[in-house]
Amino acid sequence: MEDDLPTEYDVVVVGTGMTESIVAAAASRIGKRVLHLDSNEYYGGLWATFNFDGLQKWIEDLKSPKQNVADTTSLLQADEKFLKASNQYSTVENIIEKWFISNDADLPVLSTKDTQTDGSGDTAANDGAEKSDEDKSEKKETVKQWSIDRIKKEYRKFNIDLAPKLLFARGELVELLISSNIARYAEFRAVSRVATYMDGKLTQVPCSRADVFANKTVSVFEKRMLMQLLTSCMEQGADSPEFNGFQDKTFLEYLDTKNLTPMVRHYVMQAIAMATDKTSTRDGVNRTKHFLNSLGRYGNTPFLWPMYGSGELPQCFCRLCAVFGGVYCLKRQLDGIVVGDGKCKAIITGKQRLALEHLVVGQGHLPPEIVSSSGEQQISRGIFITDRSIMQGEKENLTLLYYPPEETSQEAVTLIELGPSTNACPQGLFMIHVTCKRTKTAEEDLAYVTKKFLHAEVLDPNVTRNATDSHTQTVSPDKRHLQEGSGETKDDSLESPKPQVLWSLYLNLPASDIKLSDSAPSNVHLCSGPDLDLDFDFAVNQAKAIFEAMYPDEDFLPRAPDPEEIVLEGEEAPGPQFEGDKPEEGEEKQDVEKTEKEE
Amino acid sequence: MVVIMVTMASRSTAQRPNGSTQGKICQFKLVLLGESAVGKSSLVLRFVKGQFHEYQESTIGAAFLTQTVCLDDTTVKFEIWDTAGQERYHSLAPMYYRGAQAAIVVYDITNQDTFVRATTWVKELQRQASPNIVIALAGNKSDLGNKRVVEFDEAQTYADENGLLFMETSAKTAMNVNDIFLAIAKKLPKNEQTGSAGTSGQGRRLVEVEGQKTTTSNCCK
Repeated sequence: MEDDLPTEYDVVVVGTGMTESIVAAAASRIGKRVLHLDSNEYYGGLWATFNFDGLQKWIEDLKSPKQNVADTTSLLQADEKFLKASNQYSTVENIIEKWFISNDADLPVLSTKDTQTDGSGDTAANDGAEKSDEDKSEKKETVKQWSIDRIKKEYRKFNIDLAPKLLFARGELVELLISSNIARYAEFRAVSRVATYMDGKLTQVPCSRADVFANKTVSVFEKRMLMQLLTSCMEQGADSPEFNGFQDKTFLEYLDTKNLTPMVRHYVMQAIAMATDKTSTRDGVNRTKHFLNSLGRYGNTPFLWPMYGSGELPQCFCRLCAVFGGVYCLKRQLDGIVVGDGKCKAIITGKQRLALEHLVVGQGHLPPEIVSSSGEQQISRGIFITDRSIMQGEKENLTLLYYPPEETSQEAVTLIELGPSTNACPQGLFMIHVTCKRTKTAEEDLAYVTKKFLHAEVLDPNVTRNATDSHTQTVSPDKRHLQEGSGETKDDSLESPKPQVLWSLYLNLPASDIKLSDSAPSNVHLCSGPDLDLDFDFAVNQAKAIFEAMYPDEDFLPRAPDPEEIVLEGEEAPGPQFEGDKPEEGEEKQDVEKTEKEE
Repeated sequence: MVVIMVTMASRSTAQRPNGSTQGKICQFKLVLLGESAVGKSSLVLRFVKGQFHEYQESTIGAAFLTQTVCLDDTTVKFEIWDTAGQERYHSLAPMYYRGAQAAIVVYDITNQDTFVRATTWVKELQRQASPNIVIALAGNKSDLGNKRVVEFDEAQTYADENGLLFMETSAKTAMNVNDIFLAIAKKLPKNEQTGSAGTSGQGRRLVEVEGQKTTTSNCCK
């Protein structure tokens, strides 16, 4: 049978989430026989990125839970026990999907002279540094209004993250990608601005030295004050005497002793340390340090975003695993595990029994018998497709906004806004991801932020048409809509109307605090799902810990060779490869021959 | 701000005796697709290293290989990605296609199933990959003509209908191996933007710049 897998492994990894994939790569890299399974037909589990169609399918599939399991008794020996896998720890809840625009059929016919009205589309299209011809032809298309049909038709141009995360330029993941040489599989964009909400409007936080000095709203006195404070966080760290007496106090209390102006205090609290008034001094200082440490490496801000979405990153590690011989099989479900003598001896999947030394398993697949806590923490997520940026600029931006709670019942929200150049959405649109800790449902938890920054009301096509008829062409149709709309938008400044939401999705995801019970076999290793942090450090550190538990004396993801460094069996003069460029000279000659032959 | 450099292209500026590399250098990502054992890796090894092994094991540890071809005033550098065996259980990660400007879909002329499978790979590429991707169809193992089951004309017709380059190749005898890569190189657009700095999707790759670790943040200090 085609899908019969080899039956013996050193490591079987179940689930292709971030942690699982890093562990799989690390084990394969040191020569272990790795099998990597996922019951889904896509990579990433709850870390996945989907195009619009894929996301619809994912939502649909959640409604029909998978069925297992075949009879396994014939695959067991007398002293063994079979523990059935379960997906009860990866439950996605409270999914609410909404459209705010119409189908094509309901749209009014637009006159062709309307070309200048596509303000947002043009802004986005003009700023990209390089544009192919294809993009130019698409730009003409964006003159059309966005409809449900059009978004569905262009489904491939969307990359929608379940767990959007940023990378600190000097965070664990960036360092690992570089040191392991896995970085070559992925491409990134730097987050171009960190925004904050101050005095009733969004402003860009000056991050780089150039930004700070170019910034006109910060006085010279404040600049010096900011520099001093940041330098002490950066150079001395949380254990420095500077912070004596504040160990048990909040970061805010510490800042209050520094006689900062409100603006400087706001920048430090809400943009750099991303702290609430409950954040401890230690955490605040450490976060400030982390932020500053990552500045100046890859761009204007300390953050990077993976092109095509966060879901690319587990796949990069999977590829390395495969390159070093790991076996990959999607659409293959873990039916259960075979336990005997206090160890996990094998897994059962698709009527096969696969022997293993170590089982690495994502939290969505664990047999309930070996789980102690079922996970209290959950994540509230909101995803929005909008017609413009929350903070329009001269060029397309990739924006991070940290928004602290307005009331004690609320949770701080992180907002990431992606433009077309990240491949998150087509030209003319933006993709907004909001994330916070769950207290009620995703929609309720995030409502205050949605209301603050977005216009999430159904767009009446006829209102837009009327507006188009009666206004000058320099105003975009949606803006007209807002002006004509309810009074609530009146107090917003006219030059920056809120983005119109075209489509939204709310959902609750499980967070990562599930633990194995003490009775769990010692060779079973649990990988968490996406956590609430902004970056991937948690997953990287968890993967390192799992790898070390399995192979304490081995290197964790040593650098993989570059193509030029690979000398294949049978190749001439494999000896001197470390001394000089012999193999390359060989290739060089070959190139010359080729060149001559071709000419 | 630290400037990112991509080290992979370091060799591509090497000067050749005949001075043919004076022109511009374009770098392209090329992906190989096709069923297991049709000879994908063998084609690459023949092209890149000039070698052939009858019992080629899958290429452990080779994420991709690079090779340059020279066209008039342009040096085309291919970054050739192999499936690394992920195709075996139909589990190829979509990141594999990302930013690929060219693909070679390989089948085995002695095995009809591999041809059928090749057509599904072509569909997959048309669905998943960039719309401008240059696709070549390679009927490999043409040295085994006595065992042929996929007719040349059948494949040629299919290729014509789908706008693919097509050649029958033999990694064993080297027939048409360089030629198919050369044909792809000719068909690829070689304007200024393509292939610069080793990026394909207009993002940036992360590379440790020498001495960078000692460079402290240039901000706020």
